[in-house]
Amino acid sequence: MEQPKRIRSQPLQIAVSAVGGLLIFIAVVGVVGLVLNYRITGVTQEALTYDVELEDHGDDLRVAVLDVRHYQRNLYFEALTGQGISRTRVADFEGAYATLLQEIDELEELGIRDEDVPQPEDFRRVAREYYEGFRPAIDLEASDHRAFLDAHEEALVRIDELEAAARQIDKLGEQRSAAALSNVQRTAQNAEFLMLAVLGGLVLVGALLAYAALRVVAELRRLYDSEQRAAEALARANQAKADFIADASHELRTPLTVLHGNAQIGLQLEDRPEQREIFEDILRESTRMSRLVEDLLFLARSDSASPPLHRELVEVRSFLFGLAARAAALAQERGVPFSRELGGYGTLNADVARIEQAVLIFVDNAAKYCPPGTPVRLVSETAGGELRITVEDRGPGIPEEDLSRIFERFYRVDKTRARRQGGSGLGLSIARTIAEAHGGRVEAESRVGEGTKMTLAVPLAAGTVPERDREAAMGEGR
Amino acid sequence: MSRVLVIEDDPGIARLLKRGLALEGIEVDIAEDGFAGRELWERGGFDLVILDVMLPGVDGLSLCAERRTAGDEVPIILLTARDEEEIAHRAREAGITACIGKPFSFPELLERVTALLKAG
Repeated sequence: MEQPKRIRSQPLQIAVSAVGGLLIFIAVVGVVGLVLNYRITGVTQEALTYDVELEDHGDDLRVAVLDVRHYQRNLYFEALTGQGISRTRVADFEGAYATLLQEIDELEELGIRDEDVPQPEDFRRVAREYYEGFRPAIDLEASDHRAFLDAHEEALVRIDELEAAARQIDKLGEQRSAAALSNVQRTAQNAEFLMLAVLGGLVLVGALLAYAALRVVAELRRLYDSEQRAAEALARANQAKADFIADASHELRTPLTVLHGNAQIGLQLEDRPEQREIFEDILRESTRMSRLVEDLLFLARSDSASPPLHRELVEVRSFLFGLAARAAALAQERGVPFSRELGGYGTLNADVARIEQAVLIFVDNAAKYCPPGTPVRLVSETAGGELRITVEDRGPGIPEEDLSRIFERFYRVDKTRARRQGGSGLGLSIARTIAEAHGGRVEAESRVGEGTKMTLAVPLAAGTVPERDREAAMGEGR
Repeated sequence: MSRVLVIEDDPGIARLLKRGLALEGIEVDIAEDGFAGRELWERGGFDLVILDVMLPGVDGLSLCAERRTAGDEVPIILLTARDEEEIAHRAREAGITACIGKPFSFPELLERVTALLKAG
């Protein structure tokens, strides 16, 4: 028993842990997937809003600075021609400067969080210094050409400063957006890897589950087969046992007949007393053996199939009268007083001879065990849809520890006494078999020193149960 | 004097019947198998036939059916070791007069035999 249990639990454990593992795996993967998704969104958003824009603005700022420088040079070249600076050139320069200031404003709006690069206010200060240093020189160029050239040189230095700063911002933007993009890529790669891992895990868990299911099915099949085989073997063994007893009983019948018959003939032949005793002994023992054989045969048949019953419908009243008459005759034969208290009404569908046999077994037992002069009582009633027939004696009673075993074959409470009484040890077992074959039962009730009540209960025929059993109760002792 | 044919392969049963019936003044012929039984039976002159169901050669039931078909109306007692319903039914079909199950009580058997001989 230990072995199959252990084997059975193994696939079950695999199945349970596989399912559990799968659930935990799915939950963990779901959470990780959510976090990854959130991160990818965040990183992409950040890269798009700040880093890419920073790069854009750095670019724009540089372009604006170069524009300013370009228009400053145009002013310078015009001044070199010696024909004076035209208004349109000045307006272009003013426009470029205004654009530069606008770009600086936009850069400030973006908000640079990196302290290694110049901040917008630095730009604005340098730009203003540049403008305030150079702009007056333009108006004075016609009068003081020398001062204009000096201002131009100075302004070129400042504008280069601005351009370098703009390039720094631009570079930072490039770096940061490249880093953001590679971050997005890396995160996406991680997600991909995770998904592959999930798929692999799913395949693995699925394979484990399939394996466990196969094992469970195989195990169940194996258990079922082995139980089936055990049941078949048991049925065969039972059949073989019943067959053996039946065959043995049949075989015993012929020699018993010979013994018995010869003793009967021998009794007629001889008048010598000793020889007569011998024949009488042979006759008695062979009669007893014949009964034993018939009892064994009946029980063997009942073991392999329900005993053959010749059922007929019979009125309880008439059945009880016949039964009581035979019970009285048996009691008289045994020299025991007999009383009856017959009650009951309805119809039985039963093998009357078998029921009678069972009750007479009770009567015979009671007559054997009751003290001389004490009566055996036969009581009957119908109640709850069944006929109950009870045989009571005032014998020594049956100890409680034996009471549950008295219906077993060959079980005897008092072995020496029973042997002297010449019983087969099968009577009560036969009574029980008869009762059960009719869908009924036998009951034993006993008090040591007071007596024993043996009851046989069989169901009344369906549809014939009277509404009130006691109403039609029969009189006593008729 | 009445004549009875006993077809029985068990020598104990055969001797018991011969001894018991002889005491009643009945002449008994014994056949130990179906073939010998058929031979004696066909020769005729019996007032009663007692035979076993299980016989070597020809079984009891077939032999009876055969004799009844041939128009023989002698009373027949069949000895059975198995008292199943089926055998009783087949015995009626084979035209057997009475069935007696083993173990039987000799006085009972004798009663049946004398009754059938008186009726015949």
